[in-house]
Amino acid sequence: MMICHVHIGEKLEKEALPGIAETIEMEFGKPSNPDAIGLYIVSNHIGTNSSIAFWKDVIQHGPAFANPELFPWTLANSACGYIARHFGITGPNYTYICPPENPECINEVVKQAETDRENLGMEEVWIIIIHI
Amino acid sequence: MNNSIVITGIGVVSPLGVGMEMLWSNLLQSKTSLQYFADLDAAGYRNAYACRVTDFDAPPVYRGAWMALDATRQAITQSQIQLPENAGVFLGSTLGESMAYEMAAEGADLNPEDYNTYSLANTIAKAYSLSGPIQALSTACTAGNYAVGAAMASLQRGDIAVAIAGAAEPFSRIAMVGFTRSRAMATDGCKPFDANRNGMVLGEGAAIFILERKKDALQRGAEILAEVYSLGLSCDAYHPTSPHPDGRGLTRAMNTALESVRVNAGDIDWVNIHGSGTKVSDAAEALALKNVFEKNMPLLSGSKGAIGHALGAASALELAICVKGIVTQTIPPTPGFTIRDPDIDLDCTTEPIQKEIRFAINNASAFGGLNASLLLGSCTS
Amino acid sequence: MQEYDIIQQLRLELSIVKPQIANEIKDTDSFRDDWGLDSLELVEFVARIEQTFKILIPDKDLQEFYSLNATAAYLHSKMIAV
Repeated sequence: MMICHVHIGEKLEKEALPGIAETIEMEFGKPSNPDAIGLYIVSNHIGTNSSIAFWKDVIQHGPAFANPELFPWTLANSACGYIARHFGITGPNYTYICPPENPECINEVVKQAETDRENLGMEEVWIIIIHI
Repeated sequence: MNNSIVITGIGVVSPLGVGMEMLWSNLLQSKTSLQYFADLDAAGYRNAYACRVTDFDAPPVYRGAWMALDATRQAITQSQIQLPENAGVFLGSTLGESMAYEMAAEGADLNPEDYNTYSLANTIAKAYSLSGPIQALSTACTAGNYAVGAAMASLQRGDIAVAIAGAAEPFSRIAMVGFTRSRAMATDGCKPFDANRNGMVLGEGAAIFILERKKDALQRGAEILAEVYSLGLSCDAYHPTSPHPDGRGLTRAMNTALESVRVNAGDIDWVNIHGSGTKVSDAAEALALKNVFEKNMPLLSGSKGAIGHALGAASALELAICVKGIVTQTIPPTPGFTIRDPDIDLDCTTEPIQKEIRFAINNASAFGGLNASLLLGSCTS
Repeated sequence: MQEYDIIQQLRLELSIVKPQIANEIKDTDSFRDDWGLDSLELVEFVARIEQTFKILIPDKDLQEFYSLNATAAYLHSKMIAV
């Protein structure tokens, strides 16, 4: 089981994710069998920056003229989708919303990852905790 | 038997009715909740058609939480269960209280994190003074299936004795604008697998289930509604919003669900399709169904023509429909499906069909390439 | 605004959506077939056109946005109509 801590700060998700993927690659390397990896994102914040920026564009241009560019990034699981595409990971793909400093929440994620490793034969489980 | 997990209670807040009986009755009559909304038109939305819950009042910024609480109350009542203090809460949602994010953008002094999926789950736990585990899953339009699957896993590990699991999604202006501007919305209704389908329709709602171990349910004399067998998950890892066109992700999700409990594809009697009504998503799902079932295609039905696409709550609402179908041994019709698409080459139900349902699959797919197939069935099987 | 000026503006919008193609794409190249613009990128490009040109483009007209030339011709015809 591999755990990686990254930060998003005030960046938009689409701007932050390439750097986050790079950090993960430095820590975990490239997967040898991406079809047998489970991905588990934990964050209390992912999607928030894009949601607010997208709605500001709606306010500025009106709902009829808003730019949909950021809309897919308003969804919290867009980060896990990006990381899956970056590494070609096709196994289970979870996005947990919870305060990363809450050990009970993290413990739940670890247990689910372990269950998937045993039951689904995942060779690796990657837990990526995205802090603000 | 020790690891068998069953559903003993359902609660539903849907655009076709608050309460399972009303939703089911309207669905069997092929009704749709699609409506024109003058408030959306007046606000300048290009698309003013949606499936909203019009008979449910709540403070706008707590609409998702109130829907989840109402559905939880219904589920507990039906289950007649005395919740243990360590019962777990497993909740899915795409955006949580979308209104809070919109208000934050408008300058309101609030922290959106106090209104996200975790906060919705926490609201349920607090309402019943529960100290058990909380899992909040934001896996977009697959979140309901994920939440029930996570509850099943927790029960099977022996972490808890009872789980409150499901999903909630209040009507989201962010999603309404986002999908409309992404040119993914239909104004003339969602038509799953239909030749004339041209997009999705946004919905909202909540569906919550009480899950427990079968032996515990039998011991306390509870009415078992359905058994939950397995959840198959996969990611296409292909595109931010489009599924892989050959349906490989959903194929893997369904096969995983089947193989993990050694059920044959030929034993599946019914698939509740994801059927969002978009050209590419339905085409990919059709290929996945053909990959898995080949010449033994089970009966197919879809619900988004009736209740719209409630995003994170969609697969939970449709799971509720699956459970009710299993209880009544009835497969509901597919509002919106009238003309077979020669490219898809599959039919959906057009009227209620009485039939023995031993095993059913509830399919869900989402932006980000997520696929989640939940396998469930009648408890006698 | 002449079609040449429209195309220059379109290149600017395209450079934001897909920077790697904006300088190389020919006026007659197909967005999708020659440069792999996917559906998500196309709706973003069209949204930027709508915001810049203050024009509402219905879904049924999207098929006319297949190249810079075709897009400019569409926009030019709408401006004359106005």
